[in-house]
Amino acid sequence: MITSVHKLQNRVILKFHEDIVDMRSGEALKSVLMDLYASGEKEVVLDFGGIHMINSHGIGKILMFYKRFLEVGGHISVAPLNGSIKEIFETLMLDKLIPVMDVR
Amino acid sequence: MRINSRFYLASSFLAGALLPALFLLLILDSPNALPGSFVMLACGSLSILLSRKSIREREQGVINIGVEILPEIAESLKKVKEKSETETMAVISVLGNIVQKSKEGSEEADAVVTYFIGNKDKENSCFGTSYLSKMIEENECALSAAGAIFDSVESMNRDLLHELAAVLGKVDGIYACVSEIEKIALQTKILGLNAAIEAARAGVVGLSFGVVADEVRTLAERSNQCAAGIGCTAKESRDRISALQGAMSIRVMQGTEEMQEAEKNLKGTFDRFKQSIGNISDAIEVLTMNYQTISHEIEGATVSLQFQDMAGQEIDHIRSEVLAYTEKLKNTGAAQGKSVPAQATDTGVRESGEQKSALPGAVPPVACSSPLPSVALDKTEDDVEFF
Repeated sequence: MITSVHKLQNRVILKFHEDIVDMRSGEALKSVLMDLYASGEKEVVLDFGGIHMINSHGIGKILMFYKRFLEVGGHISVAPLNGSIKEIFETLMLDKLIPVMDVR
Repeated sequence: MRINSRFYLASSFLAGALLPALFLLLILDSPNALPGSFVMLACGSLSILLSRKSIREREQGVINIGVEILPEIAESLKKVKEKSETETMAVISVLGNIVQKSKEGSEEADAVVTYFIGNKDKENSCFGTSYLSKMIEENECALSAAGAIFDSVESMNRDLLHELAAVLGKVDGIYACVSEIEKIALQTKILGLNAAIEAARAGVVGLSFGVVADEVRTLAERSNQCAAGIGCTAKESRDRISALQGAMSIRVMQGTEEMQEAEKNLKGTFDRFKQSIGNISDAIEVLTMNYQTISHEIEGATVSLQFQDMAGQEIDHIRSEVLAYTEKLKNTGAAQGKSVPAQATDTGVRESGEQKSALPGAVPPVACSSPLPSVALDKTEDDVEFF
């Protein structure tokens, strides 16, 4: 299982346990996000605290669902970022797009 | 059929028995002709009866074969239909998955392209200013900053040249002062000489004054030597500063030209980069559209496959006809007093008649174009021509 989900009030915290670097992990992430989207969740917080790498296999899915959630009045945010994930987000300027939500 | 059969029997009897009997009556006298005619009529009748029996047995054989084979054909048709439906469902399912993945892939690609490159038609995109636009903006700022630095360096160079010119002016001033000192030293030397002459004329009284006059002349000489040394140094400095000014002037001019050229090249490269990105964006847009077109075409193919259900209904219809035909054969066999095979049942007719389509989006039944004769179930045996 590459992710685990737990709910905190109205928010769903999606914690990552594996790097998203290939098609398998990318599809697994898409499947989880699709389930959350289909179940009508509006606030999803991505917690990258347990991983160190995410590439285009994951970034594409995050952007796709960022757009989807926004279109239905929801939104995606991220838990405070550290290390290489923070660097990746800053390089891709995703830190300016996706807000940080402290849920710990 | 019954009329035809009776006509056939009457014709056979007429041709095979009655006409020869009449011929005997015509050519022979009555006592002799009657027994012969009677025998001929009897033989003819017997021959017709035997022939009819043979035909009936052959007919019954054909019926039995039909009754045995047709249910098997009906069963085969049923299996073909089921197999066809199963395979079609599998193909539709696979195509559905492809369409789903294609749509999701297209959506993901669209999101990525919109975020990173931007989309002309989506200026109010949920991603705001695209990544590329932000990068271009940052690079333009950096380019402007570099241009400002170039300007600043150029200004500094010009200031330096200006300062060098000022220093050169000061050196010229020193040079003028040295010339003045040399003049003063010369005059002082002349003055010392005049004083020595006057001291000599004064005799013993002027001896001490002569010593002072000699010292004045010595000092004037030393002043002249110092002034000459300063003059040489000032001249050397002036020559060096002049050379430096000339060299710097050339270098500043060259540097300014190079910086302007570099700035121009950077701007040109940047413009080409923006143009290339625009082309890439267009190409990606075309690719996405192709992706969507393929998706639509697969959807169309899926819908077309659903029309395969029409083929299933056609098979159902043919099967019903075959089973009805079998039933008719059975009835014909029974009417002729013969047994029929046990496997000829009518369950298939009801099954196929009530069977519903398993395919999604099934279309209504269509007119059947079966090559088999259409047989109404309420018709009697005499209304149907079998042979």
